Amino acid sequence: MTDEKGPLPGVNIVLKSSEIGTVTDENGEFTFPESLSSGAVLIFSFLGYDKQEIKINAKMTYINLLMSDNIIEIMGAPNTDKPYKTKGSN
Amino acid sequence: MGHLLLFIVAFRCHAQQSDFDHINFYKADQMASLCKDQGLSNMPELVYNLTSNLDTNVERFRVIYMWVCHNIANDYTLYLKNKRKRRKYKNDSVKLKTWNDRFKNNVFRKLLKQERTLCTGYAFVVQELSQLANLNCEIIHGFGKTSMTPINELDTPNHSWNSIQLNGKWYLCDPTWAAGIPDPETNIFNFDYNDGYFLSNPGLFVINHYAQDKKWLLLNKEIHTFKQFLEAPVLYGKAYIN
Repeated sequence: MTDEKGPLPGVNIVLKSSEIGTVTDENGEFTFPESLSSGAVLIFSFLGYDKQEIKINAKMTYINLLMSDNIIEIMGAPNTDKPYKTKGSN
Repeated sequence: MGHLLLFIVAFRCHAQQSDFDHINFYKADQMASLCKDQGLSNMPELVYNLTSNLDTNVERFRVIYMWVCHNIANDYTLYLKNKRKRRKYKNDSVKLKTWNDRFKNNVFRKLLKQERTLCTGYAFVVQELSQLANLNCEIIHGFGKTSMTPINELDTPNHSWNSIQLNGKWYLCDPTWAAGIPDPETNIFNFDYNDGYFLSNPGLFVINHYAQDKKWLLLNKEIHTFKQFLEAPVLYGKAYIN
């Protein structure tokens, strides 16, 4: 797995409609824990990147995938229980 | 006072967690605490450990949500820094984008390594873990209003939360606000779980959460305008009790 900057560790890889999965190592590489039959679909996902699905066929022995960033606006208002204060003079 | 009480009673009758009254979340909540220190480095494995002993989708979502609310801390410094920059570059889309791109990488790295984040990070991690459990979960961006939100700053969205589809119906939840609040004096985050933000009643939720895309208010035919949202009284976390 790579992005524009190089290998991408920590990418989640799961077999579609199952909970069998793995993640990429620090070199962006992975070995799927189970053998996959032709027609199986692997889902690749990572926080902040577009999710991709790859259909496995009989000829495939490896997958080389480029993940692309999706556009995310980062926000964050924490909650509080501080009493409300008006800025007026009362 | 009589009116106020009626108001509260009316809302509590409609709290949506009651759709699942027949399900006891004890097992899900136990699983979440059993996996407490597992970390986010292998999310498929975490999801498997959390959900594999649970039978219903609501329990599977519950365990993920509880895990996030009890393991991910809110980073107040990140919030302040982002807020300052977003306001500064409000009218300069190029600079805002450059800031956001840089900040985004920083946020996700912090989330994965240090388990600290801010709202969007909470919403993303709840969605990612839910999707790994084959649950349909959306991130909702919009406006959050607390006692400390200056109304004049609510011209740009400031908050993110989630919607989850269970048995064909969409529900609202806010993992950021459920996890706890920063100490009023020191701004150091304290975990203090509030169950009221789990499958909240949309009629109550809209008083301090206004989705940018109105369809995510989940109010059916009821109308609630942005002006009403701005003018509504301040609502504290304690108003959310399921």
